[in-house]
Amino acid sequence: MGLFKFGERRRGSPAKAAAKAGFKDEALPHLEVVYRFALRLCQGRRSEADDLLQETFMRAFQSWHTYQRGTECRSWLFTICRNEFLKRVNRGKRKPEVLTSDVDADVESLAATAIFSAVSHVDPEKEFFDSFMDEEVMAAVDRIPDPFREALVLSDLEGMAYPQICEVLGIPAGTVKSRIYRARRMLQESLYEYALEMGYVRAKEQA
Amino acid sequence: MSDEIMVPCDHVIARLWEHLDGSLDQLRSDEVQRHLDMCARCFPEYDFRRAYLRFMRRCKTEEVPSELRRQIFSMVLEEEANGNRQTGLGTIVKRGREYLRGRFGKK
Repeated sequence: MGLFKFGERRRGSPAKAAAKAGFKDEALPHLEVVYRFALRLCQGRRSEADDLLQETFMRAFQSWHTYQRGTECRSWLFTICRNEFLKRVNRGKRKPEVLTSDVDADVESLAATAIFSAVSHVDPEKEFFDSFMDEEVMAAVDRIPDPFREALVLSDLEGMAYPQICEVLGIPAGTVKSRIYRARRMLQESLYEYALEMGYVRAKEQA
Repeated sequence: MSDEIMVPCDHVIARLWEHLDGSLDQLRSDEVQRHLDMCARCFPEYDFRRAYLRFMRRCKTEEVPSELRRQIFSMVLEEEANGNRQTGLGTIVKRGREYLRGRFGKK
């Protein structure tokens, strides 16, 4: 089965051509950011991310007439990218992640203190984050389960605000917050363990 | 300076990510910031989380491979150039399949 059904659209029309206007100027500038998102969804697997990006822009071009001018094009493209990614998951190319229940956002924010406490004991100079290479961080991001990772990437790597993330992921604000905070905790825990292992920081001395 | 009662530490830590993410309203944000500026316990935590966010925003990731970029741009540019003469989606699908075939052999 092909990627698209396009029988009735084989012949373009001035109206159709006009409907595609603006795609180059509005959608293509987001190629890099959508690729970054695709790459993290695919846990750094480049060939999979390449295909996902291709499929995303094909789908976006096909659906350009549904894009509402004046809304954020980047969010619209992220939504398409994620949907294409979920289709792949459903097709069985990847195993779906099992999501444990979301915890209250306030509880997650309070729990994050444990990481700070551990790090501040072993890193009094506060250079903890400076010790990592970008690739090491991305590898740690890629180990976070899908539902948390996608929220973290949109928030912390792409700098999106909660309402935009709600829109892309189709989940309520409370859930978005709790997933971002949980993902941050997972990432910081993972970086901390890695830093200990690599000798970037010394383990807290036992009393 | 007002003589208002400071919010407790737990309340501030629970709101800390929201504060850093800029999602608190001005009043609450000011309240949290006033506490942070004067609390020896909460400020280092705030500083640590702020360092984390700055660090993440600076992280670089791989760029779009030039061949893939060229493929996607040429699909769109060709469609625009062809205007209403050519079938848009047909061209895109054809190009996409060519690309996939090029990458993986038979697809």
